[in-house]
Amino acid sequence: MAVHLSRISPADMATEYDNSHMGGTMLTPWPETPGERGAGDDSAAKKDKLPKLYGFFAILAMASLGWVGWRAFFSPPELDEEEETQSSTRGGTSSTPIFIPGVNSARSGSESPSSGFVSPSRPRANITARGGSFSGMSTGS
Amino acid sequence: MDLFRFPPFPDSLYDALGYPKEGKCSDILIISREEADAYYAAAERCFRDVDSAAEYFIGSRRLDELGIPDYAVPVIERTYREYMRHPHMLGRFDFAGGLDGLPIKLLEFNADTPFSIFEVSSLQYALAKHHELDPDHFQYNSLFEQLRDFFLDLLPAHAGRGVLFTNAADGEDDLNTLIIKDAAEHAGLTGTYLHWTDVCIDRERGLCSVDKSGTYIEKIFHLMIKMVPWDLLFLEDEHMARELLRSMERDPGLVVCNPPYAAVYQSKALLPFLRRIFPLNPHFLPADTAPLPGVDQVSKPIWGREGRNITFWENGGTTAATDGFYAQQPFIYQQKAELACDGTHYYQAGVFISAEVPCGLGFRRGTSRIITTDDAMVGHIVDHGDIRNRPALRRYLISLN
Repeated sequence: MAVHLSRISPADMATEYDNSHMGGTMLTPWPETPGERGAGDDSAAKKDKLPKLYGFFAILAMASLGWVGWRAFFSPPELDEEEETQSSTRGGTSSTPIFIPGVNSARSGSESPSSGFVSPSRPRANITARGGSFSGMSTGS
Repeated sequence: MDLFRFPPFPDSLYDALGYPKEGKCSDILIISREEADAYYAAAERCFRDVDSAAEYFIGSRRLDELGIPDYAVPVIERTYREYMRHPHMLGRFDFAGGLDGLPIKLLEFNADTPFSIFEVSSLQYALAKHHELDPDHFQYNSLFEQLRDFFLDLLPAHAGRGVLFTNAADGEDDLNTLIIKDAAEHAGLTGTYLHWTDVCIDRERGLCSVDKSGTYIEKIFHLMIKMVPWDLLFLEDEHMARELLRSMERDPGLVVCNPPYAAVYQSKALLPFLRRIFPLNPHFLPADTAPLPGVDQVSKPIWGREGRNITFWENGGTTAATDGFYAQQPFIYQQKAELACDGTHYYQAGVFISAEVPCGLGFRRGTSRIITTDDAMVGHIVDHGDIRNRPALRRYLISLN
């Protein structure tokens, strides 16, 4: 979920997420420009909220770092550039940059050459015979 | 013999049907209701007896006498026993006679991959329709509908599963395969069309197709409609034949049309036994694996097709012959039968049978008594009273003999 959080702007968070776990009050919209919400009358409240916001972004930063580390450790080393591009573009968004074999494979429903995963719909073939051609004999009668 | 000799049909008609224009023929033969019924009855009776003979050979394990390899026997036995699951899709009896008072005689049973499906089911229908001859009621031709009904019977077991249509050649082979596919689709059974060389057997999953690299399986099939005869696989593609049969052994749900036991029907080595087992069947000609003493006869290879490697032996000598690829096969000798003749052409009738029901009549004619698939297909219409007297048709009517 760190991936999704990292892609949400603070303004989105302000309108979409309850921050009750950070003090029980709703975040107000992030000021676009200094003084937008008034320069003096809410400064105290802003000061009160700052430590909570710092805490939140610290958690966010840790989560992001954790994700980067996790990805560096777990992502398949054989994944080539083309496949990574596909995995990040398949479906029209780049919201799932992590390659998870069998879950969000770029070649949906196919085997990942890096993982050896075989999906039920497109398994690796073990061909023992193939239709041959015939030496001029007709096939009809 | 009466027929309508119409001017050549417009190329646009053939183009619309996708029919190659070589071998086209605009004549339409007029046959009586009695002649049509006699063809139907002959096909019905011949199939019954051919099937009984096949049952005897399968039950007594004498298939080697028909040229069938041992490795095919177990699957032939099982599919024949389970014929409801493995029904016989389509065959065509080739008959001599039946016109101008000549007796109907069985020349051979093309039980596995009969040609002329498109010509009989669609082309002759279109030609008769073009001249407002009402083929819906007056043509012995329900081939397409019978094929559709055949697939309707298969539908409950195969709907939504992998269905494969395949052939190994081009031209008429494609047309025949596609008309079968079309009938299946009318029944609600859709599938994939592949050339035979793209059909694979996977060790684990059986009948399948693979991607271009051959690395991944693309589709797995549980029903195959193939226009590649079993006997040709036995002779020319034994490895594929073995693997296909092995897949059918591993997966009893895998159905191939025509089923392997169609090779028993198809073998011309069965013809000599038919006459001996059913001497009262008037359509079976005397035949043997050795030359018949004292009669005019025809020799033909047991797995021959399309009129190849056939020789006429008359008055102690050879009077007509065709060459081909089948000279190394065992031959049978069959008493000569008389083909109907209009003075220029010899006519051979073909009666289709699907799911054991006779369902379509077509004629081929040629200037030689050995009729091949290169000879022209001639349409027919059943005389329904006033057809010869219609003013619009009278000028095309000719009587031959």
